[in-house]
Amino acid sequence: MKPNSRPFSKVLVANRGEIAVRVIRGCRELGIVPVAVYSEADRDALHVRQAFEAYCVGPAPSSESYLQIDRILEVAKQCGAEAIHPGYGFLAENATFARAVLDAGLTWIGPPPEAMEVMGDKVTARTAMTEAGLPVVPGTTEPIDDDDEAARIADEIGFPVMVKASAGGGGKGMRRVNSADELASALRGARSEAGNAFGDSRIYIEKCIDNPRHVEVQVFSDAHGNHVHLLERDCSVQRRHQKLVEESPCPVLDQATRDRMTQVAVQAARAIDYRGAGTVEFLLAPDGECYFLEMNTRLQVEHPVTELVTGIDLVHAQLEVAAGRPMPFSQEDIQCSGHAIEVRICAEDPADNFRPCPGQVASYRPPGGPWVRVDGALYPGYEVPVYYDPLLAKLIVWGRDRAAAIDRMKRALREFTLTGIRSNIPFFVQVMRHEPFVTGNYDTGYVERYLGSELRLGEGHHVEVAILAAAIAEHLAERKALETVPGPAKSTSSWAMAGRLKRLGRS
Amino acid sequence: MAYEVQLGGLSVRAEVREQENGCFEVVVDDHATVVDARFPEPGVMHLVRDGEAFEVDVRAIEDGHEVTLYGTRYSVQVLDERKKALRGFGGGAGGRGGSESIKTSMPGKVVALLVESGQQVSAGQGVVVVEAMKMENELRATRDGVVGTVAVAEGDAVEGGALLLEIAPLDEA
Repeated sequence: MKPNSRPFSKVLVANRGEIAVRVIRGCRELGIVPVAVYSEADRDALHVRQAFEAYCVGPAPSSESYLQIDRILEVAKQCGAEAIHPGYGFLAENATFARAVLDAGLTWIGPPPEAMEVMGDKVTARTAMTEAGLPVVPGTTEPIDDDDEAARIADEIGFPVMVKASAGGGGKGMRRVNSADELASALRGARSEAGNAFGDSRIYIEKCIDNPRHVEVQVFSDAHGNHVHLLERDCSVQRRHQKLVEESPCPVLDQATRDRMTQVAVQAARAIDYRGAGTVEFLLAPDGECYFLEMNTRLQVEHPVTELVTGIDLVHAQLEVAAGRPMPFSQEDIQCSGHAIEVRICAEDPADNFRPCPGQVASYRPPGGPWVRVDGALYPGYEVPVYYDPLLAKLIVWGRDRAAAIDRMKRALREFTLTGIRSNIPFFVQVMRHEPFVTGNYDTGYVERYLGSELRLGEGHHVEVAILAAAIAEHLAERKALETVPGPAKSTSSWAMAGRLKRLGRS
Repeated sequence: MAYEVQLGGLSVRAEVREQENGCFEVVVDDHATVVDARFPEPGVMHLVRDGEAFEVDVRAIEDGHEVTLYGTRYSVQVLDERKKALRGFGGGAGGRGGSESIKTSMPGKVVALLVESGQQVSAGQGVVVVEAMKMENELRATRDGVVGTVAVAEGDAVEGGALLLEIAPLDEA
């Protein structure tokens, strides 16, 4: 095989938004013809504009378009695509789709469906990973009836522990127990609460992990038995399990823990005969212990931070190994250089509880300059549809160390012009100068803890500038309103004013 | 033109005059400042004041402008004499106001109407549910009243800022 020959000649990208644009870029760089699919609401979307071929797969709701397995396969066969890249979300972790792709004689750019199935179910994943020797959150998944046995198990796990309802959910029948003398009453309370709420009073015990960080390891495998890791990412800045900021490396991980975590992540990939890009997620406890959480069997939203610190293009690598080639790097080749941070820019209003804010983009000028990357799907005039998730773009920066990366992110955020719709850019400006983030002293509770207080888009130092700007804007708006009323001819200077008003974009 | 400008608890009088050279003289509580303001892109204002330069996002909101700079968002109320007079009239006389308009700030779909025309509602009561970007938002009445015009039906697609329904004060119904 010639080293420079392209892995495929044509690939269908079964996704939309920034990830479809990202995959299309990877295809084009390798000389592969990218094929886009789109819903009726996405005719003007950037991924459609950047593909070489594009096919409509159905109406706006994703259940009628991007999730239509038969329709997507039909397009793939008709246009002669050899492989399908699913991106993330939609059908990316759907083993039925992966199988259908393979059954159609096409290549699936992802792991074997069997590996997807093992990891797709929490219980089988936990069992498989325990067998593979991975640390999972200690506890009993079997219900406990006997109080003495409960005391013995709690003692073995170590306090604090959580007493949880087997049938549980929504925090009902859940008790935190700090010491042995609190256990009996907690068991009694949890059982009665669970019985009332679920008609099932069985309970089990699990170790309580306070203030964990969310740290994940990027793994990569090929069909030749090679499994490597590409270090970790810290994704603890999240809100309601939605990641907002990701960075690599994790700012607080010591080398011993990193070695242990990356090693078990590779172990997990090997145990399920993984192939392609995957992510093993861990909870990192304040005491340095880490516990397997789940494995995502696809490319992650936050993969660019790993690309920036390792210099490896994960989409290129995915395409190579999907074509059956050995991965183009070994574990020794993978070195971490510097530090990378990503923020997820969404059409959400941080001042209003992150309410979604779709609409039309008025102006869009992404930041540039050294070591700044923007993976987005925006352009001026683009109408952000209401049907899909609110992620608009990812801003990723690299610095020689974490402090330099934060400084660069602050600079890039200030350079970012996005008007017409509200976004969470101002929120990230606050985070980048917030002491707990700057010192790396944050966990998964960070956003909820500070959102209403220190991260509020509160009073700044530019009240006077704001007053001047608002007064001038109002003055011009009223001038415009007057000028649109038919009346005697105005002085010639209104030409200049009209031009300005047009550019101001006010109605 | 002269305005009453309110921001947070602050209230000042500001007068804007245009100069021959296209700059603006803004007199804020008797203190005059000359500002060179430009609009390089839609929704973006660039200001130079005594050599100090600022780029801000400006967005029209009800009764004023929302100004965002350096991660801080300022909601600035800008009222001229006419708007002030209207406001004084509406807010006076023992809290009696005009009708309350329930509008959606984002484009989306009406998934549920929780009230019907003629129905009495109390402050805080959910009246309509709008879905946008996979999230449902319940809009609530901000005061007691009676539902007047209902401008939409369940299943309707609505634009941002669209009027959904009106609630008249109890004593006017």
